Amino acid sequence: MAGMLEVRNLSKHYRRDDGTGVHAVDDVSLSVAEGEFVSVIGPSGCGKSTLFSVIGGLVGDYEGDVVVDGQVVRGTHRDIGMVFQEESTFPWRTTLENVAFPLEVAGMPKAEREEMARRFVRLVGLEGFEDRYPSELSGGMKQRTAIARTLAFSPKIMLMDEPFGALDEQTRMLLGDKILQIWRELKQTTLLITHNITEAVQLSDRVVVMSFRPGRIKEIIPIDLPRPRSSEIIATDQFGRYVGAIWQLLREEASRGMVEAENV
Amino acid sequence: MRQSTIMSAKVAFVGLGSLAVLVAAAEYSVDAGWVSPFILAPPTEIWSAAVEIYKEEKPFRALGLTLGTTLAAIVLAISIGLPCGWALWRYQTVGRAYEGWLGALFASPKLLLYPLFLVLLGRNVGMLLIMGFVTATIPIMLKTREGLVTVSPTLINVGKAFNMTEHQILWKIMLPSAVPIIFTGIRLSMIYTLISIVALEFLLNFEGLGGMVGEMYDRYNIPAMYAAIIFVILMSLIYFRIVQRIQTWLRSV
Repeated sequence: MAGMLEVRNLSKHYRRDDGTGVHAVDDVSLSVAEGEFVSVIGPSGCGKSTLFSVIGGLVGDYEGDVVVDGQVVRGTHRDIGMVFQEESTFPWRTTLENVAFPLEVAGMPKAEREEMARRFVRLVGLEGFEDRYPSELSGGMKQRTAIARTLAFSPKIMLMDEPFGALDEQTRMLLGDKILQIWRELKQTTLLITHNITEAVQLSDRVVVMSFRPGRIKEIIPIDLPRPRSSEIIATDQFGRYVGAIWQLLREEASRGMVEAENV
Repeated sequence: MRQSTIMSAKVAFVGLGSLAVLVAAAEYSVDAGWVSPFILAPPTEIWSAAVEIYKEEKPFRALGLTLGTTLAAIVLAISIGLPCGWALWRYQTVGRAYEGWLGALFASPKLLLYPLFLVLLGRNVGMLLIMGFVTATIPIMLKTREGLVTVSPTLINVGKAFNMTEHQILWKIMLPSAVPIIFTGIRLSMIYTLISIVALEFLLNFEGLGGMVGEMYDRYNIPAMYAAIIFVILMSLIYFRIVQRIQTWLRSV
């Protein structure tokens, strides 16, 4: 079955300021079917964020192809919505104005876009906070605002780069539940970049494990856990076995990354 | 909300209370003979002088002239400084090459150039306006560039991810994000321009608040001189309030 999102033989080299080269991603091919939730996991320096930037069209000059719904794309694409790891809400806009932003850019009339934005604000559980500015929200709420804003863009594919990376473990678990609930409602094709094994297993249909630099796909693990899921699933033996198996694959790669970081 | 009202009341009380104490101390120190009335006029006399000026000297004309010239210089500086600041950001080599020079120029006392401008343009409002404009433009240019340079790359990527054009990203993301820093530049330019224009009015014995202060000084009318200075301070206060309001309004648009 052709995927909604396909990455074909993708390689990316960077040149550092000192003139040396970095082979960030090497010959990566993966496919995400329509409505599927796939996570890419790997140690720091495995090219996860490069993969995110290339698929999202923020970085050019790579080898291989990014294919969206059968069409090879270059650059940013209307069908790909991105959620960033860093703080990305607009501090001068309220929650509702942030969420309505892509609709405003698209020229939707005010009343219509506000109504639609309210729907997504409700979906991410921020009802009652519509008129708050990001400075008045917690980290988790800001990320939910960013997710709602991307959902309002109505992309076919959600591309998320460690959206909960800066949050504590408990908040991360609860937001994972929220993501599962949204995914159940919208059946959004999702590619999540993460370094958190629990998060990857909790949310995904498949987990793509990457090697340390140059980032290659080491293994793809289907997660055969029942849906609908919630964070309670982490207490099951099956969940633990998946986490253990992924850690086995990652451990060697993470060690290589750590050794390299210490030798710099 | 209640908490913030109480806080505002406390702030107002401390501010006005300190002013009252200062005024009382000034009055008493002159009355007691600790300070010569030729150095510090008693506030009661300053008040009488202010009333006198209000009746006879038509301070609103002077205020209007200084305020009008300063505002015109700032508006001109914004209309030229903002696009120049954008160009300094857009063309990085030019921006980096000029940043140091502009910084040095900003720090230099441009007021010293007044004899040159006096010869070139004559002793008129136009000359004050041009000197005010020269003073005002540089901080606006520098701060506009700084504001645009420091916009978070993630916010720009959000715009790209939403398929926005470069023009849309500039207007919808970069400028609102840079507004606080740009307004720092506008505030700086207001301070320096007001100082320049009032100082020039004083030096050239021109109309306006600076001229009024100079005239009182020449007459050795110390209370009236202080009263005129207070008019200048009041004008700065009104000015800053206006800019604060504009900044808040601009970000909400």
